Amino acid sequence: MLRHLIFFEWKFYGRKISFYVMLLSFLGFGILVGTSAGIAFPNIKYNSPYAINFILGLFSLASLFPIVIMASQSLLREQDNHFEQILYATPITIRNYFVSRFLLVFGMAVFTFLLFIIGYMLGHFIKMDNSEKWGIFHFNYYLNSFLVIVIPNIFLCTVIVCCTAWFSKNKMLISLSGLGIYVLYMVVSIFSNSPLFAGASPVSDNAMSISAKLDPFGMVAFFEQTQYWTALQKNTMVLQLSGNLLFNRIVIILLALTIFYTVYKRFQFKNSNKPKKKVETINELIDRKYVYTKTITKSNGKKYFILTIVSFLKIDLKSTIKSIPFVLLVAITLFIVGMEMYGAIVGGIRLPQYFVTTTLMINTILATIPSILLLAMLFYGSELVWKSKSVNFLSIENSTPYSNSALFISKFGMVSIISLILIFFSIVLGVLFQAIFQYPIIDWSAYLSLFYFIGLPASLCGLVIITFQYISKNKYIALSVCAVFLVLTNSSLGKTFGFKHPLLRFANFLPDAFSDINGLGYYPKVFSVTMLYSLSFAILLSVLAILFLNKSVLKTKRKSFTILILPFIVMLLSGIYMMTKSGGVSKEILMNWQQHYEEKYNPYKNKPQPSITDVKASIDLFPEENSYKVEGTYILVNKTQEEISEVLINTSNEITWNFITSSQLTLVKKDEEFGQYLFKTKQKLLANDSISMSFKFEYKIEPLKGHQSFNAIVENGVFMRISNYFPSVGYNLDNEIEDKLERKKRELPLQESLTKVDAPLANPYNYEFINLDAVVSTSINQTAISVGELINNYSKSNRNYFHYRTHDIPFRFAVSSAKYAIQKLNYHDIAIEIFYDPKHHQNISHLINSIKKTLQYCETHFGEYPYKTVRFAEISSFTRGFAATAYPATIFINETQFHLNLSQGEGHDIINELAGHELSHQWWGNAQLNPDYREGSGVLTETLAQYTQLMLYKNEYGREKMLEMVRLYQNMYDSEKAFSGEEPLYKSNPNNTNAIYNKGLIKMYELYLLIGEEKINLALKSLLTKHKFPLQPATTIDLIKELKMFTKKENYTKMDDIFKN
Amino acid sequence: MNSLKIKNLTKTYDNGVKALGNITFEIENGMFGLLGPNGAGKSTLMKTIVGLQQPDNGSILFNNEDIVKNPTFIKKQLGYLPQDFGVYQNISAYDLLNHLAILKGLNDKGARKEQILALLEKTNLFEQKNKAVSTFSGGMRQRFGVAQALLGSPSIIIVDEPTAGLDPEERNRFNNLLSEIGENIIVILSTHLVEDVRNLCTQMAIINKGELLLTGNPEQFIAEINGKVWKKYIDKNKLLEYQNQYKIISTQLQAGKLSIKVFDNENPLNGFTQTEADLEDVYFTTLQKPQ
Repeated sequence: MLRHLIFFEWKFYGRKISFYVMLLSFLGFGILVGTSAGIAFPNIKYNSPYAINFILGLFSLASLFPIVIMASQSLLREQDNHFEQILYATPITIRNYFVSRFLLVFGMAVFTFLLFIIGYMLGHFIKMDNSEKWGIFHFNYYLNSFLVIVIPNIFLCTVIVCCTAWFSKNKMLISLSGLGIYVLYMVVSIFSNSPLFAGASPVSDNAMSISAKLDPFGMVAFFEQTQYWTALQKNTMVLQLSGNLLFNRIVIILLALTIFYTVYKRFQFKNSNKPKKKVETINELIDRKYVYTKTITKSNGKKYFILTIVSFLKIDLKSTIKSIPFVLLVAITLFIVGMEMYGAIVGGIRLPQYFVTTTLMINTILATIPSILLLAMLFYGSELVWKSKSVNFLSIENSTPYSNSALFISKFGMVSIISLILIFFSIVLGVLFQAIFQYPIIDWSAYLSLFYFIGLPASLCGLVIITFQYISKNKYIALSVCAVFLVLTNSSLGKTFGFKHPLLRFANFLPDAFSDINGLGYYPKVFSVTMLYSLSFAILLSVLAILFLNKSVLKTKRKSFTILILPFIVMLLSGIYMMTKSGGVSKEILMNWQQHYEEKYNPYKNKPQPSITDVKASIDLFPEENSYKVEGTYILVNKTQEEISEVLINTSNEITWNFITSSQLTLVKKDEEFGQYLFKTKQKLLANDSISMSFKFEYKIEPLKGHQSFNAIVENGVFMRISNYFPSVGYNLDNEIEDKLERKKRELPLQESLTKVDAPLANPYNYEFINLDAVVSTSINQTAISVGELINNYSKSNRNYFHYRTHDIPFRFAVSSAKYAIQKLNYHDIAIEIFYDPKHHQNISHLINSIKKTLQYCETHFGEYPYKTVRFAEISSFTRGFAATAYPATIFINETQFHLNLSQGEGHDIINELAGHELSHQWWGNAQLNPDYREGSGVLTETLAQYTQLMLYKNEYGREKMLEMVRLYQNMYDSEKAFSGEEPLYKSNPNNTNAIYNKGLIKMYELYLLIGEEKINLALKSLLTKHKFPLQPATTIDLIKELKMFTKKENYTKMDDIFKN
Repeated sequence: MNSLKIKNLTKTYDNGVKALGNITFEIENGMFGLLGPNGAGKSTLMKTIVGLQQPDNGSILFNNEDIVKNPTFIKKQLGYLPQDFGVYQNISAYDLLNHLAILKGLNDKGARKEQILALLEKTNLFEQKNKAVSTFSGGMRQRFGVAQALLGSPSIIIVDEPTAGLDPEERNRFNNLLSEIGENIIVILSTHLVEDVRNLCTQMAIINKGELLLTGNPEQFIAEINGKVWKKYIDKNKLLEYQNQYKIISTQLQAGKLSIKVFDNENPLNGFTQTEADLEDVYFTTLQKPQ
């Protein structure tokens, strides 16, 4: 009997083309994922058990697709065909019916996923080569994660979806149960801070262990088991069925079985036609008030057209918003967005609570809702088109003379309304959160703008879906085509498949880059252009669809095709505009450029070149125009002992160069491609001879290209490390390809390895320090900040000018500008100045306090503060990549790490940490202890700053809190070390942030336990006295030597352990 | 005077079923009954007239306009009640009628409301006008169907097996309604209930297996065969015997006894008595005529 039932089911599906399409698409999808190698982890091979587990676990959710389709087609088929009463009258047993249908759905889901895995393996075979990125093929790796991760996941999903089907007998609820599982997965990922979500902050082991046990998809257990594995282990070891993973898998299977058994027990063959509430016919009314008369109709003209659109809209709206699925959709949306908002506010254990600004809420909405909307559009775009047919009302509607265009427009209107409703609820939630957390400033216009920035792209996606549905005439084929189309052109996943170019992107949503200081900056410009392009594409497509719908038009009025001309022209023009303005350069082209640069200019690598000693510049900022202009002069001095006759000047291609000239130099060659200016000296430059050179350049953000993070000339909250864009002298090592594999592939020689810790140093050492004299001007309503001391400031021709000067600093300077509020006070002889956004006043006094304490501590223990001013300037989040960064006398602090609610949440006092760390860089780094770039040099700047931060934290909050911080850093270190590698601190690569920051802090704590704060500080002071500019720079060997001077002999081995293990 | 002229209409479905084979007839104002057994092609014919389906060949002229090429022409003056229809969830009778009224082109809000309320009264749905149609009983839903077919000012109304599934009382009420509105316009009533045609229609056609077997006036058809129908009560077991011997047009159980009717120009004797011919006899004799 069972066999017969399954065989019958097979006969049913074997005839469906869409069924084979689904199978093939899974195979193809697998190949795509396999060849694109999916997500790259540093040091982890593409076909390692870790990567395979990750990919298969991630995509096991994709089996929800076949499960939902199979369940809704197969489980409710009898009901659909009104066959149930006949079926229930047959002697078929519950067990056979139940089990056969379940097995079918489960079997098909497993089968389709197997096809995915086969495709995935095929993809690996296609791409596999002998490089380090690939290991040996082991079938076992795939099998292991299939059995351990995938099968239980599919089993659980099938049980949930099937049981929902049997319980509810409602197709929409089946789809929603699928969506619900997806949501559950998201929630678990968020709570467990899964690496799936970038930027997740670390969670405690305890929390991880709990979520590892409970995560229904086993991914947390997988991350938990492997979090401390080395790269080697991740490359070779399969998952062990033990610990939380074993517990998790057993619990999941038991849970699924329990649900299944319960439903099975309670399931009875019941006629699903619940007795309908019959409305009684009441009276055979005699006294009639109304008289039926024929009423003249007019079924053409504008009024009729608009009335029909509105009427279709009203009917769809009424029947949709009262339906259970829609209510559930809203509930799910509110749930996800609410969870995300709460998560964004609370932060995690690293950071305190954020202030619940409109910015925070909007960024959360921008990050969350597009994917929900896409799913909603896919669902409703398909449902609405077929609704009239599926409820069997089409024949009545179709007997009226409405126009297909009106129907089409109304469906588009309806999906737009659905997206607007969801956006509306998200906004309400955001406002509620702001009210609950009592943040006083609600930016209504920013909230309202979301209807445009989210609603428009969502509606366009809906429009394309509707169009596909009308063209294809088959709901599921159109749905699949649309899903593929949108995944490729709209999701970030599509980018990994090569759909990167702006012309290949459709209706992209605004990035979640709203800034509290600068709002959306120039993004609306980008958005509007790309939307114009997408809109004209969508209109073109839909007008075509409408024309084909009205087949009679095709035959009679070829003229109607002229209506296509306008959208076509708009699409063409916007496309051409985007093509020319977006400077997307492929990785391949960039690397070719790098290779050619290296080959061409390598000869200059070891040629003696003069050093820049003085920089004089006027920097004019035009924040409102996203542009700046720089005019400056250099004094170049031959600090070598050799004669110099050729000077190579290197400029950035990002910048427009007006001129680079010098009366003492003759331009020999200007190489535009690489931004190189080769000069000959008019007279040979002998040792200590100097020449001057002047230059002028300008820059303007091209919105479609975007800006580099350290070149953010935005409307408010400008930050530029502008020295990056000044001309530099000689061969530029930064232009070389760094990736070893890539160099090998291109047959480039190995790059010079990092200077050894004990390599000899030139004596006297050339620090390449400069004297800087900069006049920075900005708009009249803004204040410009740079480095060093402010000599003068004035206003002229409606602009503000600030004259900064400083001597003997590294060639590394920055500017910021914003509508700042300013707080100033003096601490002893030092002026403390805070420049901040007026809305962000909450932490100012705390910051000032922390600055005072840091100054006091550092001056007491390490030496005098080298400047007259300590300046903190807040910058907008349009610059990313650091919380705060220290320059001589000035520290720039990012708004995202500044506007925090220190009194709430379990996180640390980030302001205290930042002030301690960054301010101490005025001793460790910058113009004092400035080691040359070599092994261990990062320890002398970052690790020592971390130490100072830790001590200040201890002094403020006590030893308990200090221990908490050490544990936090231990956690961060452990979870990153598989990727960063384990290096002894004294030889660590200065780029290895995990070593110099995280490990550094832990080791300094160990040192603190070993010899105590006082001794460490004495040693550091001694180190500074002996090695600060202009004396010979220090190495970690010097550091250890100094520390040993203050350590008992018997502790030497322990101390060596600290630095050398 | 409205006219509908159907000429050489054929339709064969993709699966090879011949639904319409060369159908030709003309109708004018008044009620026109389309009789035929299940699967005769009635619904196909109706859907084709309404424009929901395209014929393979042939033409349909409504008031001399070719509506195969221009279906919108008939849709502008059409009331259609399909054999089986569903409705959107959660939409009240009033709202749904309002929607359809707009689609039909009742652009004036006041007039629209007036007519909808009148129709709701006429179909005895006034009290339930704010209840969702999806919760209606079969009869109520069918009356709703009639109401929507009458929206606007239709000059042709097509109803496909409207009384199927209705109890006798509902059916009666429905038929009254139809005859009330069926003046001065064309009403095509498709049914397999001979009695309905007899009661309502001035013109009729019988189709079977896609072929038109007969068109004309029902009274005339009855008069034509009157005096040629003979009836006898027989033993159930002897049916086969009689079938071989006579041209039986119909059999009917009456109080446990089997009554058979035969069509014959002469008295077949053997206990048969002459009986008054009715439309049912016309129907059955037509179906049994060798084609």
